Amino acid sequence: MQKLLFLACFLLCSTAFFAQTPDPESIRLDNLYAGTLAAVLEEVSQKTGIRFEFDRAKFGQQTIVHRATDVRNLLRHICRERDLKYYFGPDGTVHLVGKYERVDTQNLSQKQAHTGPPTARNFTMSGTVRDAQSGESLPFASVGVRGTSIGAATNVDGYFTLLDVPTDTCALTISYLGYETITVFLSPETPKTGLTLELEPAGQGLAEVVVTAEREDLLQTNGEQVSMIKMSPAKIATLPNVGERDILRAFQLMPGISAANENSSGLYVRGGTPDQNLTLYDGVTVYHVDHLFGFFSAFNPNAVKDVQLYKGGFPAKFGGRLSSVAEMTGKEGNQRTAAGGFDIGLLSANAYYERPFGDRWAVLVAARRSWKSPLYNQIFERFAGENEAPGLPGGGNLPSFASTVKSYFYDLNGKLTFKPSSRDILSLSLYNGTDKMDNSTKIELPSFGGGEQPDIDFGITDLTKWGNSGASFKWSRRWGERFYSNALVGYSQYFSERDRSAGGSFVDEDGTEQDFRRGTLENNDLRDLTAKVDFEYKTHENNQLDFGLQFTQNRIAYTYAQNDTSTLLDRDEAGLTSSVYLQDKLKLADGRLTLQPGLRVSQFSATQKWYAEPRFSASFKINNSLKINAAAGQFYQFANRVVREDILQGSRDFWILADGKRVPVGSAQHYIAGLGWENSAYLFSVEGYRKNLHGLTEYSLRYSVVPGQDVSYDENFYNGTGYAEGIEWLAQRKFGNLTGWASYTLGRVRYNFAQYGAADFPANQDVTHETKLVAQYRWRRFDFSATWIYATGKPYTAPEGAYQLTLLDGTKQDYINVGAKNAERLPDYHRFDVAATWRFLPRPDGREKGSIGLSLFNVYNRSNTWYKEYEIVDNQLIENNVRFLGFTPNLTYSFKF
Amino acid sequence: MKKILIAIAVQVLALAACQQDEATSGIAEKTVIEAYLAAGVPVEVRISKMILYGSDVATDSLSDLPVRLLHDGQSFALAPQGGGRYVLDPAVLLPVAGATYGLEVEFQGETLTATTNIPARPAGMKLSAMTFDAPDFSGGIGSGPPDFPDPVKINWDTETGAYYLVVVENIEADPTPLFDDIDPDELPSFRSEPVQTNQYELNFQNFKYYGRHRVVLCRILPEYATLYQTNGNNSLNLSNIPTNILGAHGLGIFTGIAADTLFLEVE
Repeated sequence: MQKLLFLACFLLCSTAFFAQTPDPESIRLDNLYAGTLAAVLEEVSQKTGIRFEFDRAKFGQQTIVHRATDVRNLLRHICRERDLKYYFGPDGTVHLVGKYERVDTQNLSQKQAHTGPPTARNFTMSGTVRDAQSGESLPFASVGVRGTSIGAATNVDGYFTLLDVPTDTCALTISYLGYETITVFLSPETPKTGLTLELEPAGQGLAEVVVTAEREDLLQTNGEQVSMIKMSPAKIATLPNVGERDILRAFQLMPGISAANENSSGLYVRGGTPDQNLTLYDGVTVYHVDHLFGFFSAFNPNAVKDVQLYKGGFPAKFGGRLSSVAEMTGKEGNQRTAAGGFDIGLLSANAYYERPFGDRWAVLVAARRSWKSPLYNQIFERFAGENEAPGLPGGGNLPSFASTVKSYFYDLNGKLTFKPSSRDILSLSLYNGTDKMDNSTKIELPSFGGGEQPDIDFGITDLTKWGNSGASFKWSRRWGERFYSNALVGYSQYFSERDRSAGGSFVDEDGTEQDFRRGTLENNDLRDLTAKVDFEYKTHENNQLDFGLQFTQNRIAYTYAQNDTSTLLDRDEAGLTSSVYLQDKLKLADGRLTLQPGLRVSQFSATQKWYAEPRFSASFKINNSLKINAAAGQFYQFANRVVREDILQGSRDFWILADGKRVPVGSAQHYIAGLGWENSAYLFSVEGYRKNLHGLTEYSLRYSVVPGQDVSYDENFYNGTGYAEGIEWLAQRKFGNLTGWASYTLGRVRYNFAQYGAADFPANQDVTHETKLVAQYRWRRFDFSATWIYATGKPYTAPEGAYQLTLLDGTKQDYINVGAKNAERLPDYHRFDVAATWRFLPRPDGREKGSIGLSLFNVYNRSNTWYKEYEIVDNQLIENNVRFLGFTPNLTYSFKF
Repeated sequence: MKKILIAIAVQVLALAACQQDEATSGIAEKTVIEAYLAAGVPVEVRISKMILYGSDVATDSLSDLPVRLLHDGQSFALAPQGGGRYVLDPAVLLPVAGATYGLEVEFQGETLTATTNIPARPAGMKLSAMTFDAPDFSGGIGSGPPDFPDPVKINWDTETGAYYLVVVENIEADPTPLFDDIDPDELPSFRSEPVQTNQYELNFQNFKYYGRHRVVLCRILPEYATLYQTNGNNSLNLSNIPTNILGAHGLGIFTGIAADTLFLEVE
């Protein structure tokens, strides 16, 4: 541990040695400027040498009075006061245009390549890629020198560095999912550092017809990173939805991710379970992603800027999960002007507001809350309607008292960003979300006749509550053109409370208050405190080193109690995971071969053991269209979500920390190989995967009863092994008004737990065939989309038979004799959804202020089976199918200002 | 080519046929044994067949199986009475407290076995009151909720780790309901969950009828207590049924109980 801390200090200190370069926006002014815009900018130009371009007839005579500290401060003041926006062109000229004016970066630089001779060769160029409208930085955008293999991706803060740019007269190509791809021609005047490249959202408004740049689709795959897919959060609004557009639901339409889970928005990636997927929101781990029985996820799309999903073989930078990584980056808030909007659907209302404060601050706040609509009630009744009130003490009955179900969910997102200099970004990100369902009945009988009789306060509690809270503070610093660091301290909490009990209190004849409670109480509380630092160091144009440290302190408690007197399961464990990683991204063979070896080493305090996780991925471009790739790696998981086999209501799973004994540290090995063919319009890919799994844990009372002995609840953690394997095919059309994809996955997930027999059995999430068709069509101001999903039925455990016993009080009790684990299959799942969105109230920049979306879920009203219920009627075992949602329409109204 | 296609079709059909067979005949028949032994009470065992999943035929009781009670190294055959009921002549053997008993049932070539003992009768049983005064339910609108009487406490001397169960039963021939909306098919009894404490409270709200009630305190064994745990009723939460019958074809319960009884009046 001391060695790790020493290494962290060394790394932090060593960064100070890296060189720094001046930034034109940071040039100090310290002057009071008063006069027309034209006069003020002329004065600044003379002092700093910066050239300004703007429409002098339109804006030149507007008056400016401002004491400016530096160039950035002055420009932001002018833009705020005069509804303008600015950016640096590739030649270093500052352009000021109307806030809603559409920007064509090519015009700002040059339409054609520079004709003169180059003045610089093999130099380093750096800058930022931003959204042209809001000034938001765009993470993981691609910047490349046209016609060469030289290229780089922006980092999480939108910075890029291109090393060894051949000449200062070549062209750059910049692309980002959901935005127009642009080409910028360099000239000797183009600044080599601090270059701001701005992209316009793709396909917005009428201006689209004159844009000649390429257009990107909702989905991006087949990138340099093996098994990684990206999705544009801004574009998921056009997909069919139920009540609310949803990022994780949209991911479920991607190949390799199971879509036949209406009751979980968690990601089942390549046979993995949602807990095996690392979900990061602004660097903080989110442990439970479901709202409203999992019908949609806890992430508000208005607050999310970028999402990428690693389906397997993920880099050494990430750890602690067996299957996959979903990395989400929250919006920083509009850097240029105040903006906001709201959405109202049949499930919830959603509003956000963002604005800059001064020159260096930006803030974003987003909030959602459910409301009781017919659609909400339909979902609630379908998913919660199976609950029955717990039995009264003594099994007796009261005269009936009506109860009202109270249920809601909400979430809040906030982000505050501060840029003290052009090199530093400080941000504070906050998240809070809660679901609560209260189906309780409370009866209070006050005393009568002067209080001589006892008070009785009696209630049936049926309460389910869960939620997440998260906070992260991040400091990003660009130490030089080659070196970048990102330090983060984050806190995440997940809680789940389940109270199904009957109880209350009464005052007896002695005046003493007596409490009683009978039923089931569950409580799961997880806390995660993480400190980590990530470094990026570009050693040369074809090599980048990533390394860092991470410390995660987990404390996870789970209690399961009956009748408030007997706690059956009570675990409270803490563990510190200390990790260090190093990975290298190396390009060889003129950029055609990319190798990414890496190693992550972790020490877990609960087991006092070290865990080494070597990772490797490679991709090779056979030609401009054809690429092969492969990846392999070792993965460990220290916090597990354990599935309870024996209960239906409430939390069917709970988080628990591995102890190396009853709950082992989970491990997996991934092996991936694939082939992709892609041009600007189409993509075809096939990828195969195999995951070997060890240390799987399940909790069950299935074999807990030993006649003649008391029931032991703490020993019912079953451990097993398993594997997941499959092949994914994808065909995608990326360009034109009609876009979409067709995917097919052939998969298999088998587990082996000794308690269930020697043979492998299909895991709960096993799906053999899964097909998804997604189509989007744009016509004038309308977006149409349709999705069709087909999946083999999930496995389930069927009974062998049933019988009744007469108990001592004369009542008859049904007993169902369980059959082989997951030996049967539910009927196949399929569903067709369509949606249409009409955009209206266009603004000068071509974007529309408002939109109305109609979504039709399960158009042909397929009765998909969720699970089966059994009961004994007339000496026969009767089976009933409990269904998922049938045909469900939804209307959404959105407005942005 | 044609031959290959025909061969494939035959294979597929054969495979489908095999799967069909497996689905219907893969489940073995099982017996369900039900017997409660109490000191001084003649031995009676009930045996039926498990209802098979997927079968639309209602199953019957089993009345022609060899059934034996084992005690002190001796074996006593039970006589079938029809309807799956087997009894042992009380002149031959009457169970006694503290003794251990075994059961053997022959079914489809297998000997199903079970063992239990008869616990000692619970000691020190007391009721805090012998009557419940029912409140006046005829107040009508505006009179407010009725005032319920204090609970009646049952106390006993507990043994460490022992399970107890309270059963309350109205013993009137034609009991008068306390409320108008009592379901006439509902049993005139109620019970507690198994407890490991030395007391239990009877709330007036649990009673449904006026008149004399038998309050039975049962000392039960763990194998019976586990029957009160739900084992699920759907494909998401099924778990194994608790049973102390040993043998691949055996299910059910063979357990000893002991009880003490007091009486309570609801007036």
